[in-house]
Amino acid sequence: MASDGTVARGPRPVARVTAVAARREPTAVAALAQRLRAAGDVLLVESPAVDPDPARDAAQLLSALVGCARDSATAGPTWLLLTAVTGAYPTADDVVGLRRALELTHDATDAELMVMDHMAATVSADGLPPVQIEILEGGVVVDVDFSAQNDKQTGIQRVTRRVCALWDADHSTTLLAWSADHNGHRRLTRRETLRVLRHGMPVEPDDHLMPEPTSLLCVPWRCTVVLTEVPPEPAAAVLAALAEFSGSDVVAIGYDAIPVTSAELRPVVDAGVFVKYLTVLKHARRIAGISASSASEFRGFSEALAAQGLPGPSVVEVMLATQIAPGTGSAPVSGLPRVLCIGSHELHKNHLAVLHCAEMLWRSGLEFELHFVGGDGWDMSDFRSRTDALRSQGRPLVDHGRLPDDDMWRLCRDASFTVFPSLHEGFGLPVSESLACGTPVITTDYGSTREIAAAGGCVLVDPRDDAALEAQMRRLLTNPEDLARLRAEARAYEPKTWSAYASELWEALVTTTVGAADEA
Amino acid sequence: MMDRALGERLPVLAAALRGPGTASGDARAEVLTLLTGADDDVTWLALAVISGQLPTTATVQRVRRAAQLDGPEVILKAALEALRIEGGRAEVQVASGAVVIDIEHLSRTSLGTGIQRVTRETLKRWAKDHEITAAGWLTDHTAMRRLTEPELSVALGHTKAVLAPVGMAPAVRRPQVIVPWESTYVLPEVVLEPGRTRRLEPLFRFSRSRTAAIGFDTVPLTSAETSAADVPPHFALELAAIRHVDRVATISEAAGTEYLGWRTMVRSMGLAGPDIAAISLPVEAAEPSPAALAEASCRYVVPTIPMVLCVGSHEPRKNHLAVLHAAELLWRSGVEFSLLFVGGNAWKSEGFTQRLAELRASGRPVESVLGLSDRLLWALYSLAHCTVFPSVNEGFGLPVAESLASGTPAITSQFGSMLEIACDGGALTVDPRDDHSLAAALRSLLTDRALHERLVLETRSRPQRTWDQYAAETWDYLVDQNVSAAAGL
Repeated sequence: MASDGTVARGPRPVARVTAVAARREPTAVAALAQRLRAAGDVLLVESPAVDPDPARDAAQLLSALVGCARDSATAGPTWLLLTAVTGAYPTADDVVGLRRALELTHDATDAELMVMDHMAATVSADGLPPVQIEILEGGVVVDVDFSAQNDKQTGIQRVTRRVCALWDADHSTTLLAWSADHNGHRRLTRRETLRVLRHGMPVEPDDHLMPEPTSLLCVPWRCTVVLTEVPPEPAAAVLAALAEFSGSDVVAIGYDAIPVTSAELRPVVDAGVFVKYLTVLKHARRIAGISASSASEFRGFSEALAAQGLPGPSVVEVMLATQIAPGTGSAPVSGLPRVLCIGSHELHKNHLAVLHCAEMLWRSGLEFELHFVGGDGWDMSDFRSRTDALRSQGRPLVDHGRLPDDDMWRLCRDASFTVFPSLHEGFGLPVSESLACGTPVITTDYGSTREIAAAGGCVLVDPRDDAALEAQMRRLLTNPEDLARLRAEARAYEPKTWSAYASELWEALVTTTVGAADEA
Repeated sequence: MMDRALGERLPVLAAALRGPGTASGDARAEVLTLLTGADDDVTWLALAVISGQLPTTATVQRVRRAAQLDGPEVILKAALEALRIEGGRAEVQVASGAVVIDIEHLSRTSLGTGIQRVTRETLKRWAKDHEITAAGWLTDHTAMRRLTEPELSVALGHTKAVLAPVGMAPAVRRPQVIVPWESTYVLPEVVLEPGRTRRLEPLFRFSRSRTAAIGFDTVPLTSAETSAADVPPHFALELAAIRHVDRVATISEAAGTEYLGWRTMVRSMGLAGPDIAAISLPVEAAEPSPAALAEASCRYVVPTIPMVLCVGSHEPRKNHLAVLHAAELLWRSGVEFSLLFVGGNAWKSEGFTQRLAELRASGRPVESVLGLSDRLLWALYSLAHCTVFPSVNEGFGLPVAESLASGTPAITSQFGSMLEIACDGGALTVDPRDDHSLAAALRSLLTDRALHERLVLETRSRPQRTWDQYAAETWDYLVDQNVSAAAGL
């Protein structure tokens, strides 16, 4: 566990971690011997005794491992052999190609030579460095590549960080990111670990001084590999091969499929990235959708796979959590009632409809302020030109941009009501956050927003019908009884906690996949 | 030019909005009255007719909202701005009540792909039996235009193209832009140009037409690892438009499974999505001529040993590396046969090309032929001992159906559209991801004479299915039933 970069909290028994040589740049041959020995430790019934000469050691290990891959009825040993030989995860073509080639070799020597040829070709073609590997056998690993390397904290990163921190307290898990060239997984640096598990908390001065681990690959073997976020695009091909062939179970949180189901509202490249993610998910074992609506999206994808003879992942719903910091429900500020619209200015959030309805109401003589909180979206041109025009006419319109959570929740508590007529949401977080603030919401009458609204405090509208949205905004601005009733319902809202979400998610993705609890 | 265009188009718009009735004297005044309180549909029609371009959804909504605030002049103003760019060269017609068939690809190119064959064979029969309006698109994909009779004749293969080289825009003196409105629109091909899909989506939503498409497969969405990188995003844009059509006829049950799965995804957005029905493609085998048989036999058949035929492009999805591997296993074990591939090189076919070269170098009787004429292909189907087609995903496994229609047994995948075709007899099915399963089936067909004879017999009692049947069934579902469903009949 020389490279363990995780925070020492709770038990952390990793089933089997192979010894790693001293931390210095290894020679190519020494690194090869190390990698083959690591693979031998998990694949061979009995590993050959260590030969002090790395070249001879590599040769004897290679011979045993090639024999093992050749004799195996499954592709797993071939996958691990390729990973060990090249120091990089193989693609599906690599695995299938090697299995075919091994079958056609005349004898063991022939087979070893062919594997060495493959190594030489791959290593020189891809410029692979002489890395060492560590094999994690039989545990639970969580791929947190983006959350580990970025400080961004929007929907998916928030889920990743909350879940990882809660799982870290209760279970044994290993957090992984991708190597710089996306050749395979690696452990997190201490800094990255803190970024995932203790995001937003003060960093101890010592934390900056911790030595960084070496760049060795950390290879899951017969593990449960959890994808809490969309993995990096360049890793998709080898991750799909890992899911299909390695013997590890890949499981994932499913958010939404907007890039492919609403491609016209997103940059064109998004769909290209997302379909690569789908090539991984088609070989996943389980997906936990963040709402019934989200689960149904991924179930639709899974069912379509029958046409290509694949069982597809089983999909369950684990509804997402909502948790806001407690705050005083300040009395509505004097002056005009406030209407609040939370969410980034993406086209599918339908903010142009909100602007239009507000202007219709202002023109009819109603007085209220309209506030937006949220970052810029992909195509801001229409939103900008409309807000500029309305402001220049003197309309009380404020776009706060991105705000810290506490500021946003304060605005939300002070608002008369919020509007969230999104065309498509995996989980309409602004709806549940508004309710948790005790503020009523006008939202979309289908999908996840409808599911959240079942708890009360909401008015449902067809988001493609401006007249309906305008009518409901008018009603809440002019009918204090209706608003008061909804406010009372909203105050009674009990959001799901993160700890409930994390434990349901573990149950759905890990326990069910493993078959039985693996915790000591 | 602009004034003339406006002078022509205002009465066209007024007539479409008014319906039957008499024109008032001042078309502009009448249009402004008719546009008062315009919804998305009417706004879409006005923008399309006046500008001569089909608007995008964002434009329709922006203009409709602005008109709601500031009056119907806004719609004319927005359309005139677009007209200024378009120049007003085209004659605009509103295709009310027509059945518009969009065959842009077929009218521009003849690639001889499976999809084009479906479009052409179907359209031939639709055009013969029904009144249709065949449409293509302007070269900048901003509007649909009526195809001329000579263009349609070329698209249907009745006459050879002489006016314009393949791939070039046909020379049209004054294009006739057509705007479907309260019509029926059918898309019997795949659209990957974003200009078209971004205009088709609002057409499906706002043109008050009954709309329909043929669904071939969803491979770019569900098997992106087998698609060139630029295809899936453009396919996703087509799917975004198809969300709003009334009906999709898929070319197999398996393609239906894919579209149903996609529709489940779409329903999360509060959209019903299209009605989906599987109408399987037909196959009509062509009887090879004695001359073609002799030529193909002399050139491609090794005397005294059976020939195994594999038809299809060498993209990874077709799994031709598995065919080569299974064949090599059999050759090594002493089974004698030749292997012939017919099909073009395609995206990522390098692995196949290399392995083929290795096997040829080691003396195996294997060959790959590019661009074979249909005449020789049908002869080869007839001459082959059996065919192999172990694809991992097909909307419709055409080579399987063609082989069986030629009386030649086929080995194909045990799922999807290939299984559907195999079910009617004459085929063995295998797990295409298991080379040994493929090798075992091939060995059986090459060494078990009784099995081979039984399968040949089975091919003869397969139900016949013709293009006439397919065209009639698709017209009934996509057009007749579609229209009567809207009328509540």
